[in-house]
Amino acid sequence: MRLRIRGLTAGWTRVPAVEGVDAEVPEGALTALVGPNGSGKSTLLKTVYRALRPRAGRLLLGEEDLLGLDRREAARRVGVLGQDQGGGFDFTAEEAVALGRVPHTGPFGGLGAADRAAVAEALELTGCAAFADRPLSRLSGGERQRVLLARALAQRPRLLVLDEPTNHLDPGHQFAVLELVAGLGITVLAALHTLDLAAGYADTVVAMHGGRVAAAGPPGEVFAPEPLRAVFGLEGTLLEDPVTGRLRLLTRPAGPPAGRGGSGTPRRGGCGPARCSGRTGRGGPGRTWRG
Amino acid sequence: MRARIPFPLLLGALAAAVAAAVPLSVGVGAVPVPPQEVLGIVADRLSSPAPAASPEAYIVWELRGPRAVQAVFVGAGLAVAGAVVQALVRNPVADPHLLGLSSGASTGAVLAMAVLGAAGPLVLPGAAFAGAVAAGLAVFALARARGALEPLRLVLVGVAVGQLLGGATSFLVLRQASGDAQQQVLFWLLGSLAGARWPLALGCAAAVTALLALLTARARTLDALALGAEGAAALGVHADRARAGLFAAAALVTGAVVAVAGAIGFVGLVVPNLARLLVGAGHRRVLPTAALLGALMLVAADLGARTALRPTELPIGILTAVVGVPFFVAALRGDRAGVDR
Repeated sequence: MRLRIRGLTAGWTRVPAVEGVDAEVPEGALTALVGPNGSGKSTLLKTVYRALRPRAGRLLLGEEDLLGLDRREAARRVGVLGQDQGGGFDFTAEEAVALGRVPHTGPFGGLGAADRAAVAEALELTGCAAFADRPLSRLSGGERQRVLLARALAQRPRLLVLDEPTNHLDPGHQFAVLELVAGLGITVLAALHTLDLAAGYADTVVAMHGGRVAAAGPPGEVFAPEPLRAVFGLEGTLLEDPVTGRLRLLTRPAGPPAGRGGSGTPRRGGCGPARCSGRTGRGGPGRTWRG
Repeated sequence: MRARIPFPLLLGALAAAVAAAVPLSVGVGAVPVPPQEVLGIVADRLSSPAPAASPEAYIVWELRGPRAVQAVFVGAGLAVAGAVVQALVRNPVADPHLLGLSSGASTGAVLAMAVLGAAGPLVLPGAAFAGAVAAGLAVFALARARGALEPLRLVLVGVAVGQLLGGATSFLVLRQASGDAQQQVLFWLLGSLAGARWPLALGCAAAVTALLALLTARARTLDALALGAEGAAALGVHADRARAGLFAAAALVTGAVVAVAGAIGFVGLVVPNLARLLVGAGHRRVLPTAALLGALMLVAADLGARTALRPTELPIGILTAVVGVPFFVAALRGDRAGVDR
């Protein structure tokens, strides 16, 4: 179900992390939320799944006002794969997935036939059924991430929110998670750090910078050289994967606008720390990490 | 270890063990009473309210009976309070005494002694309960920041308030300097079931039963809280509100238990972990399992406390630690060795 974000302002400190954001998450499509660290992606997602109350703005899921709903009602509509959901308790994969039914169960929390069916289906879809009885501590990172995805699916959501679902996963599992999610046919809003994956799997990309939407549209537009430089301080080349036909994005660090060849000019020899040091101003968009 | 025994069977077996342990424990002591006779005395007493006819009947009904019943509910209450506190602070090594509640109970009792003297059987437990609840309110108020109840803050404030109240208790005891007061303080600090009488035992039983039912109904909320505030929000659980309610329930259980039996250690820490080893982390299973295991453990520990060094009675806290620790370590090591989990 489509989500419309209108004039959203939110944050934990006096300076809001997200300010005046307007964005569309079209129905049945995968919308990628991209942006550098601290650009407000997680804050925006947290307001959508009600972990943070926004200071201003509206969230419309279909025609419903998401922020006006009771929390349980909201959690029946919005399924979440968040960051850090550990804790010191060792649930089995199945128990962890069954928690996705919490917003659906009655006051005593017993699971009915519909709940069990939703859990079984989510385990099956994500390939977790084989290790349903294993405790989370005995699963690999990729398996655990699939369990968390299964929990979000067990919520039977109309909107699936994923906060960096490919974090800590090897490339094979990164593709697997996105293939799975993209194939579900439900509305997905996913914060992604790997731009190449966003280019390949998203139908729409919303790029944030400094708490505001810097660019939004299909990947081909948002990952064009200009927005890419403005938002990430990167040079990039969009290609079509000769095998899958998906878009691929090659990125490389951008130098300062002056003193180098034109934008997008290939540089030989890469950017070793010694060569890059001092080339960019501290905190500028083309900043390199030097520890 | 886990999933070998179906859960209803395990629960039934534990309940049967508790039901069997109580009359057995009541029969053992300086005057032994066979289990059939124990049951006969109880049946007589329940059918006609006539006072005890024989010394055995008096011992069973007036002395050991309330004590065993109290052991059951104190054990169940401590274990459940421990499980809830552990879920609240998202840490399996937390314990209900960590949040300053027991220190509040001893301060309340000692303060009542200093001000009122030994003014009747209900004064000290009443003061201890009030002290535990007041300490709980103070910890809650101090730990709350901008509407949020952060687990780490809750533990730090609980420990700090506990230390402060411990200091206050020591000061009050020194000011009194009577042997009787010091005996009383030892009772609150180490815990004991000696001197259990029906009114308090039944009061404790009623409070623990009601709160246990309430908490079991909220088991899914406890599960959700184990995921942290944001994980809980994603499941439609308002973490701060849920934590406040559950903290209040845990404080009331602990208060009800500590008021009649003092700060019996170790049960609240270890029994929830044992329960998790048996039935996994889901609180719908952990809470009833922990309640029965706690009851069983305390009935057994009390029996040991009464009989190990007869005629001297040991503080029960010593038994729960000396017996419980090796058992728990063995269970942990067995689990790590990979016993089908």
